[in-house]
Amino acid sequence: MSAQDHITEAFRLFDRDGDGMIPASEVGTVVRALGYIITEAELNSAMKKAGVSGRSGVNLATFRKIIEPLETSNYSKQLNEAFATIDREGSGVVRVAELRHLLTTLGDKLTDEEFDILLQEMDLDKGGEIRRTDFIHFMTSR
Amino acid sequence: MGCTTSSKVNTEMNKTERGKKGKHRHRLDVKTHQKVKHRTETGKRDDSPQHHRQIDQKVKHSTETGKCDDSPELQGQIAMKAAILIQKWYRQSIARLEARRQCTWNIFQTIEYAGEQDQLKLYNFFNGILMQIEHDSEAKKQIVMLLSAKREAAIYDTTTEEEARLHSMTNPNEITIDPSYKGPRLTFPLTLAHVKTLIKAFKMKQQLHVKYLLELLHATRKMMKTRGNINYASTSIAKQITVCGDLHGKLDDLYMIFHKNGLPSVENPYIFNGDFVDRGPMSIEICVILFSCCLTMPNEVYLNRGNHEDHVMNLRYGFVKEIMRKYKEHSVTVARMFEELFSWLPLATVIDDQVLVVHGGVSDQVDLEVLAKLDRHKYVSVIKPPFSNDLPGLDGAHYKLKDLEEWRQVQDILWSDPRPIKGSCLNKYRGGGSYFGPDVTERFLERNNLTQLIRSHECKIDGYEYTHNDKVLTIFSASNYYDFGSNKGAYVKLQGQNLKHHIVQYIATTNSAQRKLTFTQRVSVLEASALHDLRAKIVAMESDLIKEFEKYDCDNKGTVSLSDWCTVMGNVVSIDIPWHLLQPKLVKVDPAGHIQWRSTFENMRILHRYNEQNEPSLTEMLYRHKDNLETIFRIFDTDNSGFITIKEFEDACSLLMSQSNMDINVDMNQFADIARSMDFNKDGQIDFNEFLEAFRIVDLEGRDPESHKHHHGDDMSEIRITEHDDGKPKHSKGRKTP
Repeated sequence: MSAQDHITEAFRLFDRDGDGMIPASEVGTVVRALGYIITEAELNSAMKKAGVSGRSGVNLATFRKIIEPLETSNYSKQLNEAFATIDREGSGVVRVAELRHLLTTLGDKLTDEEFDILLQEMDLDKGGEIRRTDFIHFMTSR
Repeated sequence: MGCTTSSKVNTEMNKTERGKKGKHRHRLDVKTHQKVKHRTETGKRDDSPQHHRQIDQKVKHSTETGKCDDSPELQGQIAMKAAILIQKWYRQSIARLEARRQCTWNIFQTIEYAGEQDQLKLYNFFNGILMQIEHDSEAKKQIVMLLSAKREAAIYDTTTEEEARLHSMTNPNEITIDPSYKGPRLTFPLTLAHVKTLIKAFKMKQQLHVKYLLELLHATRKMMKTRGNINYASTSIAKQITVCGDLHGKLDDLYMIFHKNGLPSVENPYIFNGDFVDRGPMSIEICVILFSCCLTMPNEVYLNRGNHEDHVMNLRYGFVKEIMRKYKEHSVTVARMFEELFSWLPLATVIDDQVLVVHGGVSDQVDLEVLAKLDRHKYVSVIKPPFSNDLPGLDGAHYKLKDLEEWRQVQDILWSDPRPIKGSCLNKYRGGGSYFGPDVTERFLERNNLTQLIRSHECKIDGYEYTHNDKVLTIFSASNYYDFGSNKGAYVKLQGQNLKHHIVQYIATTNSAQRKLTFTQRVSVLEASALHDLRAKIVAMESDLIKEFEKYDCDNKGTVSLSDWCTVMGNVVSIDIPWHLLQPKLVKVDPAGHIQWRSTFENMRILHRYNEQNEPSLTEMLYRHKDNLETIFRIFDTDNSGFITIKEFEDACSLLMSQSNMDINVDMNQFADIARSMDFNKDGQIDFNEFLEAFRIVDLEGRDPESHKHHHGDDMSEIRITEHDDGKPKHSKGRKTP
């Protein structure tokens, strides 16, 4: 078994047909799976810097170049705070509609489909609310 | 570039997809793609560090005081920052789930293929034993007889002799039906009404009476004998044809296919591409339905042989076990008939002279003309070389070169896998057939004036996969193959003059609880199941692992580095999975970051109910070779009674001992002790199923929940046709917390 590490293993896991390349569209998944919490814009610029163009495939060497300048970090405290800014009354729940509006119109926007998936993965109160505990749990579960 | 994690999860959530090109397996929602890209790039933001710090303080302030007394603009920026944070986290969570799922998949598949390699090693092992045993010894004769015992058909010179013998052995006329039988009844020739009766009966968990089963098998065999090695199917009447892949005894998947695609008919022809049996619990019922369809619609239903339509495979992978359980005293007869029938199944189907459908694949050696002319009946099992009047030897000296070449072709058709690298070579991963590259496919198709190859044999997470520039389609129809949620099943419809592909995916669910699971829950359950299997493999290698680790842990500190741990695990457990990524789930780390290697298996024990002394190295050895032991037991059990003598049991164990590399001193008496403690009636006979099922892996840390898997031979509590999440993901309310 040759010298492998997390990066090689994660790369190989997603190189399903074993030809040494991952489609550009899957690079984001692999990068994030390795623990990097980044926006789409940050991902795109990292890929551009590593010389990836358009929809070409990415090999392991290029993949390493993409990851190199990125940093892992642990934002879970900030996650709490982020939730708190939406939850003005401090009630511990947030309305689905409000969260949808926030996440699909600002920043690194989610599509409606992505938001639907987010909802599906979290347990909901019947009233269309999301509890902070469920929210944090989903985001940080390993 | 951009966000596609959602499309991946959407795929998982069972969107219907059309055939795709090359690597872009998942349907990219191009419009959404472009929108996201545009927004991210043109949205104006002040990204300076000072600005961010300012906002952070504001957020902190409002969290602490509960007050928000800032200008709307700043408020907006706070909201933006919160949004970005949540979005980053969301995308990362989804990516992590996908990675865990892939990892789980990797574990299941690697363990499966390692098992297949084992099977081949077992056969080579038998050959090795034969070489060692003294000439003319009784034992040698016994083993030779056992290895070839069930291929009597090939011995006889004339077909009439063969027919006579088969009929005398498996005559349904001598069987009478008890008046209490409430199951389905068949009269021959069969009609479509019979097919529907059978489908309904099996849904109600009825079992077909052995008399009817034998009559059906005889009739099907007679029909198959009239077929050539290669079927020629045409879409001239129906203008379409459906191809299904491996079913592996999963009746609910067959019902799902019929539910979605209709029963076979003149307007709706089908090709079933092998591997109907083994692993799943309803192999017999699948065969009964498929065979009855063949008999009633001989020009609309085509069956190809798969690598599991093979007696040697059936001993190990559950089909013989199922026959024994369902047909008890008739199981020898039933097994014999199936084995005989399997050897008459055609090897391939060609659609409209354009598309070749075979179970495994092709190689540079495969010659369709040779394939069309050979006597397929002599390959009762493709794992062993075809029968020879002399004793089979390792060097093949007793065979003509032509025979071996022909055998190799049949193996390639049934066992090969495509790969992206050019050329072809032996498929060591599987232990049979070849790997073939895109150039091999290209050459083969050109040589034979064909446009495409459709094959099965490999489980794909989406139920299908295109490779070799879309010239090769893998189609796999058994959903939940490893465990619930592990993969989708799929079938492909070829429509119109150009035989355009339309792929339909599905997951069969057996109860409503399964349907309500979230993606997260399904991944977690599946992951737990895979890790359970993996830990079982690890603990079976405990003594070897200890020896290896001690070499790396020279100072006896009890720790090794992460990369050393990965190296040892990979070498000893001998499976190629992502050990670095799996480490947190398998072993503990000390505060300094060193791996406490003993914790890999420290809290796990293999126990065996009948090994009272609980001599751990003996239990470990028996457990390690459990699958091979089972195969040997079944070979010894010539009357399929489920019982072998104490002597046979001891012989089997010591045969295995001599093959095992384990450096342990096992007293032969220990085998005798176990055997005796299992001889409940004191009649010298042992129920070997009881023996095999008496192993337990105990996890003292209580990490492994009871496996959710369907074990081979379990009946499903209810077969209900339900579809899983057809269409876009919906959010549902009121689900309980897991």
